[in-house]
Amino acid sequence: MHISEGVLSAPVLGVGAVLAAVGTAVGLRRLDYDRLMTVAILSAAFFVASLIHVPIGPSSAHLIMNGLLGAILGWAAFPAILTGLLLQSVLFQYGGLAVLGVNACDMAYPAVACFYLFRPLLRASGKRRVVGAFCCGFFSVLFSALLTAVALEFSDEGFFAAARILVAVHLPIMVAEGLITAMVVSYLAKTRPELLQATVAR
Amino acid sequence: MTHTAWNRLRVFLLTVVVALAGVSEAFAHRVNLFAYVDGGRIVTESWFSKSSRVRQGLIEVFDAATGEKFLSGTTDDQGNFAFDIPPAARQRKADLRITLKAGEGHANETVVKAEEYLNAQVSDAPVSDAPAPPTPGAAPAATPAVETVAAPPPSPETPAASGMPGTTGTPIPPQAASPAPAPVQPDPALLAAMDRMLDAKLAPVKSMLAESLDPAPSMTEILGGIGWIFGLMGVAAYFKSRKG
Repeated sequence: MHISEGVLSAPVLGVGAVLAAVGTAVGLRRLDYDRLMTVAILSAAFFVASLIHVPIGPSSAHLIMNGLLGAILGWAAFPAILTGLLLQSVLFQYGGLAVLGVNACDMAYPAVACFYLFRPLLRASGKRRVVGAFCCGFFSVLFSALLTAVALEFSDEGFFAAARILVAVHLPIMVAEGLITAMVVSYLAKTRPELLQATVAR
Repeated sequence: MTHTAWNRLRVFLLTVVVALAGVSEAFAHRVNLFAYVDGGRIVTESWFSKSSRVRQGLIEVFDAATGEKFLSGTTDDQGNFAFDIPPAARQRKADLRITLKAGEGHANETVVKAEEYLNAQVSDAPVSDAPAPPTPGAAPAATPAVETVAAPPPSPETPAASGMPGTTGTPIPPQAASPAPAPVQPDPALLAAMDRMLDAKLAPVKSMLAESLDPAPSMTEILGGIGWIFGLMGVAAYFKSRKG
């Protein structure tokens, strides 16, 4: 879901950059010292996840993992995702530096939104937490697809045409990320509950 | 309560699946564009990955210096699109900037330098130089000319059985200097055959070139990126520890 260089108009790029800067600033303010390592590990996971393709049916898309970052990090997912995207664009030529802001917004705001949406469920225990984590993974990707379509709406592609394809292709990814997020969160809840409590309980 | 929520979710998912059924578009993080000069044409190939080509992608050709648009077209199901080099571009020796828009935010571009296609034209020149432009037109024009030269001498001897004028005809071919045009202008059929053979021989080279433009992330880059992340974390930790 990386938007390439040269697709979006300058105003869209500008708005994306400003919104990304705001999100990163908030994320860095909310990031306390004890959680730096977690942020780095998850940022690395996000960075590598895009290399894992999920071929289901005729389509194939790569994992995104923004839901997992949102569920565990909350606002701190923003700088983590921005770092991952920056390195992807520099090292893999996915996306690009000019569109970095827009891409970061497309990936990170859904993560933060899902964190707030499903926090009541994440805070609970047992099955409800698993459901909350699954929803985090699932809807983060869905919202990312829709946000990407919104960004494309302002270029020469229509919203619905882009959204239809983006959502369709990412359906398997949504399910896969829902499952992965649910697994990771319930594993962490058992073995390292303090990781989750730091953000979720606040 | 969670039960009804789950049911609602299921219904929602089902509607989404039904609404999106039939959409089958390969998806990747980047799209590749490869352009090369082939005779008087430029051939472009576009693909997401080895197995998925760009169908109906929009190709546009611009003057790299001025940004003036020469032409546009869409790729076929194999992701190919070929076009004749625009005469305007050839005139002012413009570099061609070729852009591809593959949809859903996928785009790429490449530049074909003027030297590349101008050189290709020069190598074609012997063929199209002497007689007008196209080779097929030139060939028939040349052969009748020789025949008309050969025809008048035997004409007094009327229809002239092909065997008879053979004796009178023997001196004529050297006069008509038929060996002379032969080296200058090789048989077009032979040229075409050579073209085809070269195409066949170069095809793997071209596809190798195209593939080398699409480097999958290597282990070095992946590990390097992870290293960067932890390096940045170290920097952040350092500054946070100084503050607190």
